[in-house]
Amino acid sequence: MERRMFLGGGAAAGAVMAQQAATPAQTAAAVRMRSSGYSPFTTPDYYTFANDLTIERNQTGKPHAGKVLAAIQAHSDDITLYAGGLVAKLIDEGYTGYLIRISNDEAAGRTLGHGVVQNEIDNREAAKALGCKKAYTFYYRNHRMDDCAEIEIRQRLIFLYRLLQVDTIVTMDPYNHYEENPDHLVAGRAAEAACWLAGASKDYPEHFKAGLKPHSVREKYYHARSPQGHNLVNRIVDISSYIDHKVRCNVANKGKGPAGENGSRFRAELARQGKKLALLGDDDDTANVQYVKHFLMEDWRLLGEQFGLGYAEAFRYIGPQPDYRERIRQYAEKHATAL
Amino acid sequence: MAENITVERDQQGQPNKGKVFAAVHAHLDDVPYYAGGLCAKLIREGYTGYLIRTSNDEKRGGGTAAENILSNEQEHVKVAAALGFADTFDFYYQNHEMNNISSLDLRARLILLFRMLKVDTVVTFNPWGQLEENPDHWVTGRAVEEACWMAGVETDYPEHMEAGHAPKTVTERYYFYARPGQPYNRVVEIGAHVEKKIDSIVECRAQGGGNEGSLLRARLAKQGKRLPLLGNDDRTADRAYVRQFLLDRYQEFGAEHGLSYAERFFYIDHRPPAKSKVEEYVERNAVSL
Repeated sequence: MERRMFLGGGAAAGAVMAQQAATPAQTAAAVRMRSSGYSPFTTPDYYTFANDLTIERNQTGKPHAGKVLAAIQAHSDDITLYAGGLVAKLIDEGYTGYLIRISNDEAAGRTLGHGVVQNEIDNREAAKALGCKKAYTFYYRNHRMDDCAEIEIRQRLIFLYRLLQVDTIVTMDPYNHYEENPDHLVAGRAAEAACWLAGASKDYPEHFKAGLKPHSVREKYYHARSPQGHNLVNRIVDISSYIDHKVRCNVANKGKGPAGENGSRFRAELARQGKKLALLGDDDDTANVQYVKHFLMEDWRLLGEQFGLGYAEAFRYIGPQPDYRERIRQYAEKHATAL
Repeated sequence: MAENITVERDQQGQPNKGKVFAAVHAHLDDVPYYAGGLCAKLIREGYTGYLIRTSNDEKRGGGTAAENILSNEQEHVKVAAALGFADTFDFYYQNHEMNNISSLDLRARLILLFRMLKVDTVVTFNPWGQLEENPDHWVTGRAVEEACWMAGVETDYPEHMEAGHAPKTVTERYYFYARPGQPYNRVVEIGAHVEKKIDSIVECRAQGGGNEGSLLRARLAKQGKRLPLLGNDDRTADRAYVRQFLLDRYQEFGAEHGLSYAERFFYIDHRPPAKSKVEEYVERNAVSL
């Protein structure tokens, strides 16, 4: 069946590029995404675009200096595949970034032991490639996180949000439809619930005696997983300037996923057949980078193309809540009369 | 009952100065009854004590669940003050329903506290105590027991270290003798501390019978009667009532060993020896090259 595009490259992209609210007619439910077919771990089959969809572009200078970002993933390749561009962008714009991995990734590797070690290394290397200050890992068992006490994971995240004074998180959308991997949902739910609880003075008050301070997370970027995890998208992030960061952090994922050293392996395989692909270059590192950029980033390029961008990532963005008390004060200022 | 009972008597001076203990109970009146004398004794001997309550005590107090939570919360602070604790912590898990909570959540909180407070010794429920009907008791005891050694393991919750709280193993445990038939191997002489034990019990008004004396005095007055034992004011009545009617078992525990009052515990000592067996062997057998 031919894939039908509800959101064409021209008119719809123009509307959102001007940061105008799109009309409901332009925001058909469940937009089928174009796919290169090069990887299942890219954009999902469908996105649902909100009628206030906006494009987040590069900002000059360091507008986020002093702010703290936590990128939370169940597995070493979640953030890198789905939000690596955004994380690199926000850090470049001034955020101090931390990468938090919830599982131990044991399900990927020659043996469980080899898997956990390689993925531990990968998580650290991916954090470096993204510009994160530090990587954390909780080491819950891979693919079995629905058997964990979610409240304990949440407690640990509350501790870290308070310790690091996290302002913004990037994580898997806990409301992704058709999500097959329980680790994603558990991690997303715990990360979400910890956001406001970290700011509540009555939750885990012993933290304050331990020297921590309450701190609410005010901004969230939720990403979908692919191929089946479509979510509500209200923000397209221009990652064109950060595609090489995204490529590098994916190359760092050697223990699992479609990136890592697959480029050099593919180059070697072709060589055994007496062939070569010019784009894979003449050495392993070039092959790994070019393989990821040409094949695995293609769907992010296709997504960007729809919005007039080089490369893009899509998110459900939840921003700071308006100060309702200030709104009431403003009302009073406008309408109050003398006694 | 264990074959070899150790009687722990009062020690002169402050031999435990610099050490820290945490008394972890589920409900307001657990520590005052099961270990009020021991806690007062340890603090007098130099320990810094912290009182940790795991449940919200909503089922006890004679009011609504909300009113009970408040009254027990307020009385917990008074109990701690009566026994000389440096601080209190309340976790507020739902009373009588703690077997449905995540034991990992509870344990993680205890691990943080043990590290943060640098706890050497715990006083709590025997997690393996028989005939325990109250799930809050054994859930609390198990979490404490597990937290004791995990608090010393640097790979458990390493984020705590980043917040400045180093691993700290809890090496001594006093488990309550909470129900008849539970094991004990230590009888602690509390004669010199029984007044403080009474002080703590009378603060347990929402539960634990701390105000039974004044209630009885008022009831008798309505009938035109009085008991000289109960004195002329509520405080005197409450203290006298506790002493006369609620401490029998502690007198019995003491009498077996020629003491006026005693509390029973199952004591576990995991303090490392000054020298390991390997060090001793090397000392005895190493020769020059």
